Amino acid sequence: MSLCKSCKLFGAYRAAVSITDSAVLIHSTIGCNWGTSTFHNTSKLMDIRQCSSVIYEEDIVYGGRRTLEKALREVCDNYDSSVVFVLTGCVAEIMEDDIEGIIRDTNCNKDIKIIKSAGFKGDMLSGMEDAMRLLADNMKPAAPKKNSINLIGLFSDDFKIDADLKAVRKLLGRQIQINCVMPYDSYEKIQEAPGACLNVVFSGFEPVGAYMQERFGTPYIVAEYPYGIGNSKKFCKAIYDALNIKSHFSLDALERITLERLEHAFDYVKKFYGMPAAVVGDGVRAASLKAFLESELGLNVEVFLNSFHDTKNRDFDKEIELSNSIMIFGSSFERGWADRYNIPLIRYTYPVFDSISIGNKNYAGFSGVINLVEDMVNSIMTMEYRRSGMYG
Amino acid sequence: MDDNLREYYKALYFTDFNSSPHDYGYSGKLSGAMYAIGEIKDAVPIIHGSAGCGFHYKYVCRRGYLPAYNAQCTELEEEDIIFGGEEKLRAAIIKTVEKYSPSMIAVIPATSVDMTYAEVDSVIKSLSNTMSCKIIAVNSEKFSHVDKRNRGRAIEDSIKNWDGSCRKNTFEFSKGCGFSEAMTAIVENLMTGQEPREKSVNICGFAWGAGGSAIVDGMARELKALDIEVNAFIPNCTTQELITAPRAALNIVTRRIPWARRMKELYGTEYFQAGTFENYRGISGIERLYLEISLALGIGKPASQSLVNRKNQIYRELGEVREYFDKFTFALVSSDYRGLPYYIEEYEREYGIRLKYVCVRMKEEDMVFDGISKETKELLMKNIRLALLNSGSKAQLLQETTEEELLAVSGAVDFVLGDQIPDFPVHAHKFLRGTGKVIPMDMAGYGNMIKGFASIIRKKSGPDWQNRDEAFCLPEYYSGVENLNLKGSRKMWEELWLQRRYGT
Repeated sequence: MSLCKSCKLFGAYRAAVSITDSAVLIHSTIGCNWGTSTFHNTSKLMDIRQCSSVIYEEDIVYGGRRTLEKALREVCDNYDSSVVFVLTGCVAEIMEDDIEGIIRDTNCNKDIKIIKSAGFKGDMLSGMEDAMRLLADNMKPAAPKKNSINLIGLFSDDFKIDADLKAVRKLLGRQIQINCVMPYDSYEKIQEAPGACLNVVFSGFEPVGAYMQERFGTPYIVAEYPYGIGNSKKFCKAIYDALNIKSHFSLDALERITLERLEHAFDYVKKFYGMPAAVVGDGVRAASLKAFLESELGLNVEVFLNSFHDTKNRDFDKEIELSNSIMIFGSSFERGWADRYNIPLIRYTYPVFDSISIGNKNYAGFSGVINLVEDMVNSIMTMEYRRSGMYG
Repeated sequence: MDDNLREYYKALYFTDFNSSPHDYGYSGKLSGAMYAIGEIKDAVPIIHGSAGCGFHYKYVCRRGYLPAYNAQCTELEEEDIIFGGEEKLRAAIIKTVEKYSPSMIAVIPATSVDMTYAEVDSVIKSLSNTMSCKIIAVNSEKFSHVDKRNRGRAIEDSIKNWDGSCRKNTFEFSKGCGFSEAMTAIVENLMTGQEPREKSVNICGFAWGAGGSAIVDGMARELKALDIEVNAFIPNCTTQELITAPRAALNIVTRRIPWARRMKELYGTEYFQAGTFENYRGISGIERLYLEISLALGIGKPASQSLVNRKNQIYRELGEVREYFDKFTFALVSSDYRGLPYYIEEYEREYGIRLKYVCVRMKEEDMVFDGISKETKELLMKNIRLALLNSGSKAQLLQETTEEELLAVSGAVDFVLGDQIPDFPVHAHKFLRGTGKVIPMDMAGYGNMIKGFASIIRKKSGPDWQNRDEAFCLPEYYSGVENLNLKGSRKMWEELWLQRRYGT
């Protein structure tokens, strides 16, 4: 499997675990716990707040009540969390246990939320949406704070998320307050999300924006991820325009600094013009990255995949094989293609499990342009290629 | 072969990514010798010189991505320069044999040893009798570097010898090329006479241009289709394969000829001077290349029919694509004044593109740097006009176009064809990077290149690109690259280089 379509459980899990003070109980067989944690923990080894109810054969025969009750009690005792999410996997939902009843009967002193997330019921995006609707259902109406926004559609296990968020805050400047990042924030902050006067929804999460507008009257705009100079400017302008405020600072200055820095690599950057490449990624990021690569660096993106939408009826193995692509932008799963064709892989989208991102090396915003270019150049310079000699 | 150009692009990007240092200086001749020896699978080079030479020449300029990791150095110090470095050279050879057990060691003298060469031959001679490893010395024909007039001469040659459809090969690099010196040492001290095999060639793996390794792979495929065996890529093979290299009936070389000439003198191996890929652009150029090789091998007649058949097949396959190009209008904008006649021929004849404008962007500073005289410049313009005439082009020729004129031109056509990136603010959706750098020398590869070009046009003329109202103009990215010191360094280099060029 090379595409990150995944399943509903992964989407629900990613939303639930993104809440920084949550605990997650996956009521399923152990594999669901293993897989989700593997992709979550690569860059956050200290952030393990999840467990499995460990559904076993006898649960299939006699029902999962005892197992879930025990797991719930353990979760309430062992985690210092503001909220507990119980995610039900495929097996649990096939068993049709009365999950709500069991939770009620267990009488835990925690705020427990259930997300029905059997993998067979939908893809990752649907799981994310369900989870975020649930979060919206538990928000508290509030008077909007001036010039404050929520960013919707960013997850704690997105590659480079912390560095990117820092860059986004810098990009927006002090005039704009980020009320909450949904769902990557504390539970309290998420509950206070209606206190923002604008929801900035990343591509793919429009239904969440519409839902919150319906419930709380918060208007929303759909934003492209700020990759590249053009998209960074567009991102800022869209938000400032929607809030009807004038920026006190000039993006031109940031652009100039970026270009000055890029001058150190100007000859390499020029060489990117016309380079064939493939871009695979989630709906939040892929289109924006493609636009940056094509419009600003002049790459020829021959193969493009938005994993939120484009996976049906397309044979990407074949498309990549037939293409001229000599660089792939994607997740760790795209490494298979990179290895097969002996070409570099630039990791930027979930899941990334063969590299870590714990520093400040963002890809978003103006400074992200520099980091992306740097990684692209280095990936070529350090490429394994004709190691035994140039010809023959 | 794959139906795509991935291997060509990989060769282009992975092996030739950092070429800008050449704007500010050239590597010393050791670099060419290091390349030659570094490519031999079981050989180790020993740089006989000071430690700094050993340190930096491990980086091999021609293949910057692949240093000569095992390269050794005698690390001469002041007293060695005064009293001789024989013992250090002897010790280095013995240690290298112990450590790497190479089939061959090549001693490459640094410039300090060039001044006091005497001890090298005696050391090699005394050690050669005691070990099975072959040991050769690379003799320096000239001090420091190849003749400074070569670049200008090569350019003038390419302009003067263009006869309206192709170039005649007359130019060869003169003495002082490190690669040639190393190859000559191999020819004289390593190779042995062999019974030549019919329909067998050696291909010299050096200086086939950017992406050359994939280009040469394509050549090998094309030769195989003509039932011609590649005996060896030299020097990109083993020591034993170099020893028996005279088995081939023909050497195919680029522009470094002296070693091939010496091989002919010693072993009777004929050579074919391909020059550069520019001589054989296009399907018909490729046909001509292999016909010339076949003639040199004495199999011109059967090869000729096979080539014609394959050429016609590729043209048939390209019929639809060539019709597709007819839907659009194009301007060709190039500062590559030498390449323009070739590009015009190529686009008009091979691609079937009807050019509306041809804009020449000759920068005065580049002309000076390349040593192009006014007369040569005029000859070049004559060549361009001849290319337009010969290819039946109706394009309007615009000389020394200003930025405003170029903007007007780009507004009047669907696409602008350029060299690499535009040097005027044309929008990215209009600009098509020319294919000047990726020139397969096999018919299938070339056909794929044209098909690939069509798919780029298809994409850029589609809604995804056409609806982009703010496609970036690349020059905006680099408008600031007018750094005073950068310019100063380039100017300094040019002036010092030119000064040497004319021997003043």
